[in-house]
Amino acid sequence: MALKKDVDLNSVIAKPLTLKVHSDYIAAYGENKEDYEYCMTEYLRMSGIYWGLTAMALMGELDRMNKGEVLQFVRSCQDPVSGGISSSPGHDPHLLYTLSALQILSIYDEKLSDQEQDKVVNYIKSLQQPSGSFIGDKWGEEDTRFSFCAVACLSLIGRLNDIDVEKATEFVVSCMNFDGGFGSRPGSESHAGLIYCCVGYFSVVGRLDLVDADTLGWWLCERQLPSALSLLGESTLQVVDPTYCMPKSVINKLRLAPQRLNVS
Amino acid sequence: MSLQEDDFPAAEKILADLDNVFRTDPELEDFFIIPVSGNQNKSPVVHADHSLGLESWCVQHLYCYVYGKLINHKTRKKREDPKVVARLLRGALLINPETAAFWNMMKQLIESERVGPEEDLRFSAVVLGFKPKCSEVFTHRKWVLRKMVAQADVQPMAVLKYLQAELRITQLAASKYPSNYNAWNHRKWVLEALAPKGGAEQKELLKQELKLSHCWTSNHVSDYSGLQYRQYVMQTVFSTFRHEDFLCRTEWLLELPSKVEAKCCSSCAAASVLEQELQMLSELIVRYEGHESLWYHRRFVLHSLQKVCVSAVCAKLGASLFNSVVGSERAFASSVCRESKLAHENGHASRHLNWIENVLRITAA
Repeated sequence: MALKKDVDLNSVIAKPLTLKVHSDYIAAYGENKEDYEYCMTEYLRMSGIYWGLTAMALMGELDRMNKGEVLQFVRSCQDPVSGGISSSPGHDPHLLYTLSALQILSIYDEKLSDQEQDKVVNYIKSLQQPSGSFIGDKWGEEDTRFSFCAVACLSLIGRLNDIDVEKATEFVVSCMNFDGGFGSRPGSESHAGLIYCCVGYFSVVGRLDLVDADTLGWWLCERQLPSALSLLGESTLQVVDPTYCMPKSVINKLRLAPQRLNVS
Repeated sequence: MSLQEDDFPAAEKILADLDNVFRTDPELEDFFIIPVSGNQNKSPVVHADHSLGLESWCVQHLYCYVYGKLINHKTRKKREDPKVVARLLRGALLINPETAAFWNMMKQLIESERVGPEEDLRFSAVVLGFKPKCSEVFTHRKWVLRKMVAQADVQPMAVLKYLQAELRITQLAASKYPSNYNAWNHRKWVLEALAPKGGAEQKELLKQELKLSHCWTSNHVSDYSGLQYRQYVMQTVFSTFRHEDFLCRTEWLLELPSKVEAKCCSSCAAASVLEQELQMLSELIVRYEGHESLWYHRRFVLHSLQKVCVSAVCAKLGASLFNSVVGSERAFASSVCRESKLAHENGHASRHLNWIENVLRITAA
């Protein structure tokens, strides 16, 4: 028997998008600093703030968030030695949170000082490897996610030319699989999250021509479930997960041609 | 936020009990949080059959306690002795292994030789027992293993021991969490970083992995991450094996009948392996209906076979052989379309035909 992976969209599900409830939830979430929950999620606080702010900005409710407090928090997370930015004070700098921090600043149309910015650039440069890949922090884990983080950061601050983009691109291309998808390292399984990072990478460096859009479009379309709401992260078995939803407008922007697959 | 670390007086006793288990049981394998609602006035640390349990009532208090202490130590508000730090870290990482900063503190303790790398590998293996997909654990293990094999005086036997241990641990993690991307990815890294390169030993290991992944596939027909690992091993075999390597001691092969004569040359041997893989898949698809993974793996096999056939110099391969394989492929998928009573299996088969035509670009004659 096959496992149930999809959701039932029955009449119980509310039809209108309840934006007010969403924004109230996010606004309250930032205030809720209950000890245990707070400690358990400190390791990704910076990204959590970015996700919350993005949602609020999309709903036109950004002014409900405490801008001064957020900006001060971001600045307090830059490591004075390496220049990298951490998820939270006391945690370690990492490319993942450096990107979230720069994205937060972009949302608010704010900039780091020239000196702080140079430090971030030097941090990112220091993480590029001879193969062109990026490690996420000084401890050496290599992953295409970090290639995306690196170019996204640098592009946001207009410093993309400070790294060896050609070499970086070579590495991401080497992670392409026969199904047109991408994994975290050469030979790794195609995965929707990593495909997002790699296609995003090519988009940022202006090389979407390197994506095999037809084959990848095929892969992507086959991840769609009958409820038509969601995509699966990996090829099979994982249950429906809203993390992998991708609006049609995004798919079109990436030229992934979803209309090609009208299978059954 | 208040991090009143002294709020929980039982914490030090619990940490000492945990440490005691790690010290006295080198074969400890697993960790669980046991749902228990109230403090029953005894130690919440349970140890039996090489498994470690922590009663749930203490988890929140304990985590807040160790978190506060560790952050204070890290931000130099209140420094602790390295031995104490190691103990606090173990408490924190058992409960919340996603926190990279704590694994990094452990790395610093290993660098300063306050914690032994082997002892630490044993600890993180126990954490994987609890969170078998946690990427931070695999990332940390890689760092420890890289450090160990980079030592000037490392013995090949020792590396082999780490390799075998790592293969065992990834298999355990894969069996605890279906389609465990991180576990299988880690296993590929292990083959690249720890396996002997180029010699007979590497080839034996690859044969062992092919055999094991066949076994795994037969028992986990919907685990695509496991199948993708098999693809990785097959590709490595094709790029490293010479012709004679395919012919001696063939118990790692499926030994099914094949149109291609493996004895001819290395390309024919590869084609024969792939052809047999298709037959193995047909059997599994008929026996266990409705698993998309098996169809997906089929695509990889066909794609690889096309590459081998088209690029081969051997006259016995070539487009006509591949076309005949595709002919059988069409017949198989059509028979599933006709005979399967499961609607979604029908969909898999018809998508397969569609894929052959539009992605492989082989149109029906």
